[in-house]
Amino acid sequence: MTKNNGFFQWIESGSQALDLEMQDSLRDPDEVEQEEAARELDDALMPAERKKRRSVFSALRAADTKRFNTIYRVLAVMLCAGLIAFMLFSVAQMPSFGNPDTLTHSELSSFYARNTIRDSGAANIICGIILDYRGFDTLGESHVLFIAVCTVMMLLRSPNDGEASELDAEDLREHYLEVRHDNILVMIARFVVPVLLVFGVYVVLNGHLSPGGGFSGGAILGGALLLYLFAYGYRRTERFMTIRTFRVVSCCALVSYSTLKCYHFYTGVNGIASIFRRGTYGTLFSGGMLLPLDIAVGLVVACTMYTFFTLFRKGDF
Amino acid sequence: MSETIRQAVAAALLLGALVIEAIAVTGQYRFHYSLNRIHAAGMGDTLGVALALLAGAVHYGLSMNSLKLFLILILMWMTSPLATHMVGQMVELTDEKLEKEARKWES
Repeated sequence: MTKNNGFFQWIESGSQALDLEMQDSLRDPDEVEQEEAARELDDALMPAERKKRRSVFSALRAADTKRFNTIYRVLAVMLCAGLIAFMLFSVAQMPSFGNPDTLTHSELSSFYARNTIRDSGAANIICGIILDYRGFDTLGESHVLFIAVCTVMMLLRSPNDGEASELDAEDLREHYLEVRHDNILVMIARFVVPVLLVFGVYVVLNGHLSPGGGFSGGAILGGALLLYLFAYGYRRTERFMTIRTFRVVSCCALVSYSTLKCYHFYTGVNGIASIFRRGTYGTLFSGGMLLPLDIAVGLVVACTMYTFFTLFRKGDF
Repeated sequence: MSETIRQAVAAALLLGALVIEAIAVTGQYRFHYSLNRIHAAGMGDTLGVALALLAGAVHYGLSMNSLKLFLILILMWMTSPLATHMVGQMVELTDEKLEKEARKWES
């Protein structure tokens, strides 16, 4: 094996195999030309029989395509019919509505319905379930969001290597990346963004009292940030929302979530009184640590939404 | 008696909303060009939603619920025409066949 090919060069010198220039054909260009001319001549002088054979060949291929299409359609219809039959069969197998012996009326749901308020102090049972009984699950979800953003950042973030001239970068920003100024959008955003922010904060803070919670409230907050971005552009948004803000807010929220959860388990297992009081049922400061957990989740989700959009839009911020 | 009339008015408003939305959905499938389609969709977004929310407000009477419904209505009327406006602007900005499509409807 020669040591001259791209792979060994790449190993030895560290040069990129794909950077090597593609080699031209080893044959003489004149020779290739002659060959092509000969082939054209051949085509022109081709006996009728060969032409016929060629047309038969293409007809065969057409027949093949046709057969394939037929089989494809038949199989597709059969697959769909099979799936429909399977689903109808499953529906027929389902227990009748209101049957007390079904899985949905099993012990777990009635346990939740009976004990959530006593265990977690949350008026919103769903919040009690996802942040108390299934606290680990929500912790994992928040970290999954964070990891997803980190991965997107690794893949899409364009490095500022300083090679492009300042003017070019500025030009690109102005004409390509910066959002178009739109008076109608700005006027509406001026009214809607504060309303959305207040509503998002309301949903996050009342997560343990009313429908909503960290995830939905965080999504509303992220949407408000994005609307602000669309209306006023990157330059104005980056005054308060940069990658540094994202890092600080996300990390603080995740670390505080984990710490709170650890403290919760520690006190719960050892029977120590937690500093997070149960409070009066139904008031804002009730439900122990559900409120701080909700705030942490909401912050992570809001930052993640904004960061995702910005990274996909221009790969940096 | 007045209660019955109120509920009947609410039902009629809800029915009107349904009709408007049905027209909007039909428009989505009947028109084949994006600007015509946002025209159809905008009708459902504004009048259809307004009628449905009004039906709710009439059903509840003057209460906190109807106040919330009015708030939703105001926000919907601000945001959904804005969305339509942005979509239309994007079509105008990017569609190369805009002139041809516009000519088609002239004659």
